[in-house]
Amino acid sequence: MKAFRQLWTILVSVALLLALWEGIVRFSDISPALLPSPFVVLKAIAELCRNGTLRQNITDSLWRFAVGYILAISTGTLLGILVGWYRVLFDYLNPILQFLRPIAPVAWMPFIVLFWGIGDLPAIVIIFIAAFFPVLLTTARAVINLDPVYLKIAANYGVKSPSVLWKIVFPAVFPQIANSFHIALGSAWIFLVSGEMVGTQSGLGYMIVDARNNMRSDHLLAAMVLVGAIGLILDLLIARAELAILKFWGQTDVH
Amino acid sequence: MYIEIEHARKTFLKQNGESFTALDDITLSIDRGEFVCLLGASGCGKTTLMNTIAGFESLTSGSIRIDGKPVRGPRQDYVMIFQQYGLLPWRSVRKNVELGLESKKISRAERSRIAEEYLELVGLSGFSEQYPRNLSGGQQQRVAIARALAVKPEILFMDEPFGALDPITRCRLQMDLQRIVRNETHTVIFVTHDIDEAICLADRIVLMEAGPGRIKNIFHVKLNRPRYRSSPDFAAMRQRILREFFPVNDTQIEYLI
Repeated sequence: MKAFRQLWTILVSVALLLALWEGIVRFSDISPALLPSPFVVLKAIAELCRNGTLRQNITDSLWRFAVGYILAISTGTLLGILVGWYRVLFDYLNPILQFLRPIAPVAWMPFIVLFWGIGDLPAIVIIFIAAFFPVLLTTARAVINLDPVYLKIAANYGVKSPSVLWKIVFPAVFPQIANSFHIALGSAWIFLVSGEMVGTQSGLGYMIVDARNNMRSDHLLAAMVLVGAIGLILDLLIARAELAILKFWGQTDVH
Repeated sequence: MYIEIEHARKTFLKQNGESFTALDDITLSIDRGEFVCLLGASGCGKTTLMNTIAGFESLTSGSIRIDGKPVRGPRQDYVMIFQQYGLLPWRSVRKNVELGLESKKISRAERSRIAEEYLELVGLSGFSEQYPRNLSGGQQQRVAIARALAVKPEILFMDEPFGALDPITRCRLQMDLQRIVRNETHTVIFVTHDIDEAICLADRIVLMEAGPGRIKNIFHVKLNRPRYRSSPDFAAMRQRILREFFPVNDTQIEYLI
């Protein structure tokens, strides 16, 4: 019943958005060549599906995303735990991180292209930068704010210094780490498009640039719709995983 | 004596720069195998005193010796039990109990056998593959007790261990704890602010007072075990301790009766 209601609200909100879109196309002076209707965009998606460009672009994007994101969350977690545990490291690193964080990942683009040229790497690096900082900072903070009872237990039961990190510290902060993975996924997906708009010859971001260059606003909107839809699906998946982790750790009353 | 605390003082520097004396010149000896309750209102330094004996905090001045050796830090044979249980939520009940055994040279099968043995002792056999989240507060504290006993500690520190439990569960755990620690021969230091709990469990009650934290009085509890709250001796003991907190003259009491 609850799932049914949820599905219903989603359907209604999507329908409202499409109606609004269609209404603007019909009742305004904007040329259909500049703002195609939802139906035209759907046809464009179908066409791109048929000739195989869509599959190729989505696969390329997802592959780059997976590489950048997985690298970012694994190094972010590892470094975050070390830096949070050896508090002095955090004190020295934190000012640098706070300084680098407000610099948008795309600002690195010129350097990335200069150093590594074009290809897959620039997009991967951008995704990495976007996902790395939230994971690193959240993990380090979680370790610093670890409930002192865990440390007393480690000392009492003879869990010694390096092994305490994976036996006690990492699992104790894992729910917070999972939450940072969730947040990082969102921001990394946003920057996937920017990353692919500059350095690559394929992918969803490239599709957008390509559509612009060819004045194909139907293809442009098709790419945008797909970026949104895939982002939504990825978010739903990771939200589920996060909830399952919280449940396992006994940190939620949802059953 | 087994544990010797001499002129223990502990002062903290507060946020505003003033110093706060948590412990002021505490001298106390505890025998091997004794069950001592540190009883007092919050802020009297009872938890601080226990933390310094357990090696989690250091003294500002004075000394604490256990078995003749000065306390330098937490040790595996002096184990603490916390009010919030301190179980590891990602480990099953059995794995929680095995935690302390993992740093000793004990085979996996033997660890598992010891864990089951102590889970049975605390009345939780059959729960070993459950996770802490599925257990009630009382059951979780039983797991924590099993985990502590499994490493065969010399001293058991208990920091208001039943403080978060409902009164009935609390009573039941007090009865069980009496049975459990009588069978094993541990020295127990138990912090509480519950007078009945202290009378129920202790061989000796160390009454503490706040501002600055020091020992107000010490009571030997010579009641037979198991102790029941309803017995007249229990009530008399309670009366004696209450009078320390609320001095009343006896004529008034007679009048009230």
